[in-house]
Amino acid sequence: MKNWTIGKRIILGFATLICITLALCFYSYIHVTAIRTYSDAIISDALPRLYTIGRLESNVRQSQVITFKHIASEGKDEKALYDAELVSLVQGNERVISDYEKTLTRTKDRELFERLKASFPVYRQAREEVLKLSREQKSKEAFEQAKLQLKPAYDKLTAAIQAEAVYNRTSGDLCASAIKEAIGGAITGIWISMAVALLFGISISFFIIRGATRVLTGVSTTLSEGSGHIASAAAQVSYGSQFLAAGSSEQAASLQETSSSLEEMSSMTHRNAEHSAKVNELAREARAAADMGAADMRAMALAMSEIKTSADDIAKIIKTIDEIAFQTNILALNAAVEAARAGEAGMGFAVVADEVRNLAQRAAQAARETSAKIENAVLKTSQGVQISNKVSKSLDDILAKVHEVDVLAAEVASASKDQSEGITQVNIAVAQMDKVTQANAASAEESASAAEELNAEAESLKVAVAELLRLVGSQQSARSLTFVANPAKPGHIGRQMSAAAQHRASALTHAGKPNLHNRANAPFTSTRGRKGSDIPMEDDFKEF
Amino acid sequence: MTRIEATPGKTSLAGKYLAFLLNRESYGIPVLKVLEIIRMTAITPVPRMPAYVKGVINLRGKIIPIIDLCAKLGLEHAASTEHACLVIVQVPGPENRPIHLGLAVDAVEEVCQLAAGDIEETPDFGSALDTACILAVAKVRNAVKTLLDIDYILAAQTVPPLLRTL
Repeated sequence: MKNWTIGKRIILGFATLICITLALCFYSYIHVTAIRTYSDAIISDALPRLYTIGRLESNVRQSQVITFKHIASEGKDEKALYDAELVSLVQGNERVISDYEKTLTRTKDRELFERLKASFPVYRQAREEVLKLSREQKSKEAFEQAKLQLKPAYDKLTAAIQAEAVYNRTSGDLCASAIKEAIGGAITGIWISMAVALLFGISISFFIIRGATRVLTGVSTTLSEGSGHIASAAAQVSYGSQFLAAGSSEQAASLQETSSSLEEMSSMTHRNAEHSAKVNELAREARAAADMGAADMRAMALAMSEIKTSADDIAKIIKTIDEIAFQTNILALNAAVEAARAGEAGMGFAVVADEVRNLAQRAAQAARETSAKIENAVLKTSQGVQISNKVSKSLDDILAKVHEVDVLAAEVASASKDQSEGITQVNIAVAQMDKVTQANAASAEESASAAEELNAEAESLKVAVAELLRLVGSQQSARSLTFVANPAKPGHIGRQMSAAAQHRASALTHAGKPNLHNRANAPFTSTRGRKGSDIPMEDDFKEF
Repeated sequence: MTRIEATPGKTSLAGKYLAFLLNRESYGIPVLKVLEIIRMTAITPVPRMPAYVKGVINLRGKIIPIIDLCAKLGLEHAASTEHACLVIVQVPGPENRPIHLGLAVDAVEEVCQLAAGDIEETPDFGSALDTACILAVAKVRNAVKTLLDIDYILAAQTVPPLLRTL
């Protein structure tokens, strides 16, 4: 039953009430029908018959009176007048009896009626005899006759009429008592069903109202809390949006600076590309020069090896010269020895030998020197060959390096070109970013105003919630309203917010509802309310 | 041949000397002992000879024994033999018959005239050392030449008799 909707509950309540009403109606209908039946019986049966009987009785009495008047009268005309009256009475009686006879339904009634009917001719006969006497002006006899014969007939007739009347009255009474009974039963039934309906109605409506009120109270409490949250969130959003707007403006300015820097960079990159192209050219030239140098080096190495060969040849020649000088020296020494042996005679020869030996020694010396020089030259040449080999190798290295430089320069050139293009694209992107940032700023402003609107909506929601709570008649309404006002409690938020934000938030929250503000300042502490205000504030405002 | 004979007076030592090199040191012998100077030629080794006998050569049809003077004097050999020569000397042999021997030297320097003033006596190295093979010491141009007593060096006591028979 808890999960039933309010509609279901109301339907159940109303269905119950309708059932009770229907039962009541049915009961009443039965009773009213009975009453109608009995009243119909009274109206259409007992009363007319009583009336008819009454008329009959009165007619009979009147005829009796007329009869006596007839007796008492002396004129013939007067008697004739009474006779006529009697005839009309008899006719009336005949009509009444026939009318009455038509209404007969019961056997007891019929029995009584037959007796009545039977007593009529007796009475009429007796009356005729009396009247006959009276017409003959025999008043005394007539009177006597009346006393003797008419009176018993008359009594008998009235008795029958009385019996009939009593019977009809009894049946009428029976009907009346039945009606009375039915009315009493109907009243009792109505009372009982009213009590039941009241009981059911009260209890069902109590249940329905209680359920609905509880739900509505819960909903409205939630709504009021929610509207409070919305209000504070709207304040935050507003603040954040303005912050964002300011940030976006700054960003836009930075982006413009970035854009100009990027343009500078672009031109620099372009220059770089040009320079790298130049480097490429220079590297090509350097490679050509290095190629030439390498070729020259190879030629030089060849020349040096030729020099070495020549030097070797020269060395051989020098060796020969040295040999000759050595031999000459030996010869000179031999000559000197011979001269010494010759004693005085060999003196001049000794001088010559000495000269020859000197020459030989000089030749040997020169040859040695030349040899040394040539050896030196050969050494230097081989060193030169080594150096030229090294130089050649270095040139090869240079060539390789220049080639690398060439490649790298080409890469740098292409990279610079790419970079330039990339920077152009970045520039476009930055321009777009600038646009987006400005759009962001505008959106932020819009969202700030939207937040204001949201705040206003929250305020109106609060009012609506208050209305709802009032409608629900909840005790919590005051509490709830205080919850709504509580999130904006300045001291609590101020710890996390800047002064401006706090001012803003409090201004936003209190703008619409000064009375709530007053209530919020009242010494009311609710953990739920605090909790509600805590949730959105801390994380968001820490960042600011 | 006695020692006194081999060492004449100081004045008689003046004269012409053939200077040659043994292991870069300059030595001298009297030029009159020298017959001729030839280049180093192929030397035919002779078996069962001491180490200082290098062998024999054929000099214009005459067999000349070759003495390795460095080995004979107990000196080291020179590194370079480019200017090596054979000095053919005539020394008195048995029964005063002159014999011809070849001295292998590292190089021949010159024939120089030594004055008496240039020649000094053999310095005394102590009684224990034999200086018999040295005639004197000559001073030539700030250098010192050792003058060898070639007769003593190549005497019968020092050279095996076999060679002398040649």
